[in-house]
Amino acid sequence: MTRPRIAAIGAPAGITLAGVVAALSAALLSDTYRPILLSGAGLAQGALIAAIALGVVLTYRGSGVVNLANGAIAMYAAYVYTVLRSDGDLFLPPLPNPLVVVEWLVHLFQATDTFDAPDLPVTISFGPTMQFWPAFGLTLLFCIGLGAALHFLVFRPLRRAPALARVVASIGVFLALQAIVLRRFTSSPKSVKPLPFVDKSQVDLGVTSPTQEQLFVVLLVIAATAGLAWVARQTRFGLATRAAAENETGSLVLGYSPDLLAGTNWVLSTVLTGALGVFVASINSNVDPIVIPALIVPALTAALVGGFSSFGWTTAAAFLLGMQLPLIQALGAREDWYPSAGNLPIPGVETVVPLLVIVAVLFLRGDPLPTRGSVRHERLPPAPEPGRVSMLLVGPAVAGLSMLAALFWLGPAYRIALSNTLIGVIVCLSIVVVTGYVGQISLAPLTFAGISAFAVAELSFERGWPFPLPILAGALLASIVGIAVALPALRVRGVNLAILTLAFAIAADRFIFDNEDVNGGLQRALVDTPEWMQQNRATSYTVLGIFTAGDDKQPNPMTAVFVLVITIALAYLVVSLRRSATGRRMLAVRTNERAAASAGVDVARTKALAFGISAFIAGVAGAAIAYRAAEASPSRFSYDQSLAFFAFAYLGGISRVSGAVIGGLLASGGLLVTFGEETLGVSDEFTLLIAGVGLVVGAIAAPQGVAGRLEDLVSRFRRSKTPTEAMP
Amino acid sequence: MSGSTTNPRLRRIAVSAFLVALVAVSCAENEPETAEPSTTATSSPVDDDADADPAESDDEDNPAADDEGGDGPSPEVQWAIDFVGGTHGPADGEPIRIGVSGAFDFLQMEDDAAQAAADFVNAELGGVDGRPLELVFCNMAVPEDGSACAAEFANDPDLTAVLAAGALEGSADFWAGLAEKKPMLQGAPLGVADFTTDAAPTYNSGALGAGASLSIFALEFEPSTIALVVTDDTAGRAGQSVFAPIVEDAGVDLRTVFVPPTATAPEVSSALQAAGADQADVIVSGLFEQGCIAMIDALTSLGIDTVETPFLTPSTCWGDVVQQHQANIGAEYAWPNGWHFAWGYNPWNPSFENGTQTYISVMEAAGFGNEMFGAGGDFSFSGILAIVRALNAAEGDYSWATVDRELRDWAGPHMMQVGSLECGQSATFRSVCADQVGIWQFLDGVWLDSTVVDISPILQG
Repeated sequence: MTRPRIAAIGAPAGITLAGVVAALSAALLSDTYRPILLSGAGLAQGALIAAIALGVVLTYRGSGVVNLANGAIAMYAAYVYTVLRSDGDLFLPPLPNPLVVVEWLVHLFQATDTFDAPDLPVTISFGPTMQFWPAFGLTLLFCIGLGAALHFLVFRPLRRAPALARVVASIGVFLALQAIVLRRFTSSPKSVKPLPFVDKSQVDLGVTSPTQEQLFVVLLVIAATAGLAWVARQTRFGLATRAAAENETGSLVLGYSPDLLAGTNWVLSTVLTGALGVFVASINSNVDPIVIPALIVPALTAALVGGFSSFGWTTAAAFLLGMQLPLIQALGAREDWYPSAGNLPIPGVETVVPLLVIVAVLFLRGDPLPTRGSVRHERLPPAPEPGRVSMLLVGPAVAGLSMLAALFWLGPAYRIALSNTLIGVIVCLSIVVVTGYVGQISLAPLTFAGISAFAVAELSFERGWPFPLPILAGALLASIVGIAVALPALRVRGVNLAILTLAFAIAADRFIFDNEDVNGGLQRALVDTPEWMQQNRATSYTVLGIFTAGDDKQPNPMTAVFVLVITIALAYLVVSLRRSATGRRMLAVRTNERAAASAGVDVARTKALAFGISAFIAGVAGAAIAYRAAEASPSRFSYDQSLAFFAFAYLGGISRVSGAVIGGLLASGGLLVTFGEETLGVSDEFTLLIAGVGLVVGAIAAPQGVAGRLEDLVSRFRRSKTPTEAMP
Repeated sequence: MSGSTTNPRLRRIAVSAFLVALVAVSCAENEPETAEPSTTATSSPVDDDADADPAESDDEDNPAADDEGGDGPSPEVQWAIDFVGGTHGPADGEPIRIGVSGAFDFLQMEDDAAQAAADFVNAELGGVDGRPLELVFCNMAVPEDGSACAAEFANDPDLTAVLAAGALEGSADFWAGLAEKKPMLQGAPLGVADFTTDAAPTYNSGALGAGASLSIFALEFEPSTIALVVTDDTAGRAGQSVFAPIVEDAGVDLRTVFVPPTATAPEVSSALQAAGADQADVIVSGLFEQGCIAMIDALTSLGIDTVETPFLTPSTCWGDVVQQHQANIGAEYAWPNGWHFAWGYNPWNPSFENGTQTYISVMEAAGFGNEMFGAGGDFSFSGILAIVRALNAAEGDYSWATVDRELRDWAGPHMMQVGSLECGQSATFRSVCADQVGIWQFLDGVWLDSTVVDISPILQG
């Protein structure tokens, strides 16, 4: 039934892909643009993307894991190398210090805290500085350990877990590695010493003149590609890996250990990625925690083109993606027909290209990723139906208490934290619908929120729409975009959808939110917030002439109340959805699409509806953010925040409304973070680390999330209190 | 049935261990290597050393404290005394609380330099009307911090004034939350909201000043083509929006290419090619430190000689990171040869008259090196002294209206800035008071005398 519709969508996708190829061909034929397309800069950028993409393919072939953290691994290895060379130190991640407990106990009995337990070392020193080869060798040794740790501690326990858990774990690794580097070195770039055997002088190759460094990395990537292809096709190890990928049991019978093969591929992948990360950082002369990890999207795009199996096609696609960057920049600077925003070339076209390629490839291929032959697939975390009591009594009671707390009890810092938490709850609710109920991995909730927020700014401030109409309009717009993004989901699922939505989020950051026609440029995207809920009013309210609410300090308590009312309404919406026939259809789709279809469920419609509802909820969150701040600002809706919220939702319990509430508590600037800062003195810098490590641990040990664990404990407690009947 | 593959006991142990570990890690490492915790109040050294003799500790801590003769202040200290309108000697009594917000994780010198300035004021400049300063820090690391810091400062009745040293996140919320509640001064404007706010003036023209001054300066080379590579962020776009109309109105063919703030050498190299840098008469860069490194490498890879082709950049390219890179690549000089740098002062050719020598001596005494010039330290330090000047001028009336007027009406010159000040000149960039910018060229190992560019016609539209 859905075939004609898919064909209708697939045709434009094919045209898009053909358009990209045609544009590159035209550039090759142009005397003006050929040197730009073939420039050393584009080739080097392509090599950089290929370096990460090759590791992704290697890992997938070996273990069936699409490693979203591969860019972060390259970055981390580059930091290890850089610090070894500049300071002679191997930096260590933050480690738990058991002496802190002793310190805490001693302080309990001291009037003034005089006992200071020794801190754990943060580095292992090998001397003042280090030459290239020892530093490089130690970095590779570190990568071997990291690869083995990732396999044995993280992904091996998840080998039979659903795709969601493995994606979540790789996002967790991504966030944790980034958080460790941010903790140790902040976000400032770190200078990297140049490679000793090549320099920055140009090499004339006729059609292009790259620098020695660029040429070295390009040749290295090509050599690595050829070597990997040869190993995969010609060696027993490569053939065994392929065999294990096809059929684990079969390979076991033949005497090959799938575990050992997967572990070896993980180590190889990490070493390759780390080595190329070192070289790339060296030719960039600096490394920071943002640039290399963000290349994961073009790298995944290249890997997708290569079908997650072909090293050659992957590298070729990576080079093309790198080479399109200078071409697009040149077109923007030189051509009048190039679309503009605010009299300037429209930003972010280079991020839209990978997105288009992903969409086109997914449609043209028509199949999801070749799924590895797993022994069995485990189910997603359960999504229990909320009871009537909890829906009618517990929810309103909690909401009412929260409202009272906001008005009477909480101080200013916690009132702000409460609003942040409630907005976090809304975002997590949107993830519950699309991922928890339907099993579709969407990594762009904040993107939908942003689309709504900028619509709210336009409608409320520029067009004068009265409150709350812009909220509805913004959320509806987000919903429409959500359904549009869902169209690929009609035939894409699992990790492919995660890749697609991640690419969409990154493209939207640049193409939409950085666009001056959207963000208002110097005029900014202001929002006309009603006076009664303006956050910065220091006010109090006398209720019925009896008591006073508020403390004459900002923020205005009514801001929290406004967000609270929205949160309650949306929580009811999600609870009702779960209890409805639509909710049951969603769960049926999540469990088994084929079985659901055979039972009469319109799978495509159900998925699209879930995306629409999810984007609508995220859109309301975006509108709340905009009204609260009286402005829509791009920095609030970036892709990395989407990843963080996905982490919080998963940690809380991705298939439960109660999980969304716990996820909201973990949100940046939320109640837990504020409690940690205000009461325990724990810096909010740990939020990202907690999110990352928590995701990994959660994916392995508690896929049902904190809410699920709590519910398990409560039901176990209840059972223990219930007298067991004697067996007859 | 759960999706886990491990047994329940192992799961429980793992989760428990994780939670305990997190608490232990968090408690064990409250202090990051370089960043300050957010929202901490720190006492002045006068408070810390209440029992010590301030004059004695001054001599040990601050080599700039007294002149060689003994009794009088050193010339650097005297300069600061004259600047703030204070009296030589330590401060005493009830502290005056000043809020300091900033991106302390990124611009890592902002809080350190503000504290060094406060310590200096308390030890040498007689504080504010004889009372010591006490700084209350609030770190703006994420967008949510803007409203939180604003609320914290607004709700503190003892907070007299605020220095918004410079933040990348949450500024709009911060300005909205504190407007007309506390007298405020910006260290340096970094985002669109910083330039356009009415809430706080700034004596630093930031990217706007760089864009405006470089456009006027570029025209002195009578170019027919200019290649501009600039960061694709609010500051970069603000600078470009000022730069482009001026040179285009002069008939110059301008090619602008935006690159991400985190652009790598290949990206900058391709941007230079796209902007036609190899054929341009003048090349202008609007990049931050990381981009500057990439720019140096990109120019090398493209074989562009910046002695032959004028190369113009804001001062973001002369800091410690660039010098370290020059050393790493074995360059002949600490700065790229031939480059022209725009900023309010030149720390590498320090002047006594504008207070740079004072800044250097105080910061060196506090144990800082070259990093004092590259991560928000200079405008944070001078911002504290400017607030002290305004409070001293207010003569005990610390109301918002009086102190705000003192901040806005002051005609300068500001510490480590060239020229006079006039707030409210621009209808668009309403916070900007600085209307002159200096441009220095580094050529063959020598800093040449500055060219001072008057940007007031541009500010006035």
